[in-house]
Amino acid sequence: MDYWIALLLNAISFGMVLFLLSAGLTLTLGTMRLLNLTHGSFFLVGAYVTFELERHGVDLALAWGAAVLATALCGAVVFVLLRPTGEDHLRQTLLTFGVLFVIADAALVIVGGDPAILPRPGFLEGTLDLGLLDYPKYRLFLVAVGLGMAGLLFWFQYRTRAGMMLRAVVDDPEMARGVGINPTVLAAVTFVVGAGIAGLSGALGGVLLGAFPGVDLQVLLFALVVVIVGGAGSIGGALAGSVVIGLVNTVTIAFAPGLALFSMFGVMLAILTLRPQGIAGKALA
Amino acid sequence: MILQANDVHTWYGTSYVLQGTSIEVPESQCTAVLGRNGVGKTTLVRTICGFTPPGRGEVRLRGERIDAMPAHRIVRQGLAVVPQGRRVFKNLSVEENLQVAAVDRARVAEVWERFPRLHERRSSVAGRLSGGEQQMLAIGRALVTDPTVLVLDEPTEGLAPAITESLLGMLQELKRSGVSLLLTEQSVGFALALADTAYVMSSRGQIAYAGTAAALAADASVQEKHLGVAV
Repeated sequence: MDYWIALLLNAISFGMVLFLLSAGLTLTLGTMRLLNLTHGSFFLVGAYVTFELERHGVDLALAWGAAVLATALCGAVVFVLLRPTGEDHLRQTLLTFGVLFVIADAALVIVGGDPAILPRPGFLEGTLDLGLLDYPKYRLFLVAVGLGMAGLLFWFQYRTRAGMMLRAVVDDPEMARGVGINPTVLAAVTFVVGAGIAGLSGALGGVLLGAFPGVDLQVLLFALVVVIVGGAGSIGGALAGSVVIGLVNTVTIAFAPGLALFSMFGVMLAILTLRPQGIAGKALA
Repeated sequence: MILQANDVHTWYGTSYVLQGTSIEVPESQCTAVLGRNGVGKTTLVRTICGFTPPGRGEVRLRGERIDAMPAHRIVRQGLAVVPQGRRVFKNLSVEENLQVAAVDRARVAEVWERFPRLHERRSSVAGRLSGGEQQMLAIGRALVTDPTVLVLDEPTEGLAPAITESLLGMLQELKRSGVSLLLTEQSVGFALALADTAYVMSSRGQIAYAGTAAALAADASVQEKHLGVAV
């Protein structure tokens, strides 16, 4: 019994990392129609910045903050680079795929090719007695952060004027301009914040997934699958998609490790066949 | 003149829709552009509000050129649009539709006062409103941007006669409050009841007639030739 509960908690905590990872991607793809393949690189940058700073004696909480800022800055640069591509997804794909390699090589030069073991804060070491079982504190912390971020993003989308504007742009981009909303400013803020959250997913989730050359592509794949399963443009969809993929991945790895990738794409295929717009999404134009 | 379009030429891709259109909107009056379906009325509205900027020619608001401005800046200059088909933000509530456009809260309160029905339905999702309510909301959403010129593209389209009647009253009151109106219509009766000046557009944005609304109302031959109806 406690085995199953542990498995479920593992799936959910992994799902929360996926949620942090994909929240920004689903918003920029679903609302701004920007296809950004460097999104996985933000995870890498977040993880490496945390690793390097902590290694050089910086307080871990500060290192997390710096990781978020650094990836937000990366996001700003990528956003500026994307401007001339307009709405051309092919050009966006080629451009961001190129930037992905630039970031990966830069990381290789600066950090090196050895896998980085990411630090955890001391008070989150060890396990917490949940009654039925002892469970790692750090994973519970990830669940709390993931749910907290989901709450924050919901609040932003439904309770702030900027969030309403974002939803207005999703509804009718041209008419949104017609009532005075500047879509470029909105897109820039969304992109940069989304990159920062992906950086946080690297800083926190790197403990689970590792930080090594190639992890950027690996998590990009995860993020794209989550966005497709959940439905582009929806925070709720990203949350649902993350938990579904977290479950599928964790359960398959536990019982048939060889099928992990297959099962994930199997779910994606099923969703694309039965509900192409994703769990909560609207059809992409 | 508060708003002028001088010899504007507008293309959709390679399709040449407006081939030199000029109109003028006097301050605090209502100007109507009439014409059959497909002559370019909507394109003229899209050209003026910045959705489809002209390839040639100029649009001036209070004498300042706005034809090269992005749509969101034109709104801030004081020109608001109520588009064809209303285009309210369907997934936002009535109140949110106003909030995203409003320059300040007082403006939203004014709309509640003007349209009590919208206040009653402020929490409803805009997509669930009736056609008439959506038209009210589209007008309210334009008003909260504090416009000096309000451009309405076929506001009576798809509305029941009773609703059209009350829309006429609302717009007459708006005109009295000093807002300059530019209106495109297929419904000649509605337009002439409201307008001071009228233009009749034939094909490709050509202005076939320009004069006072009263003169057009009396001119059966122009109406028959270009509008195909007599009032």
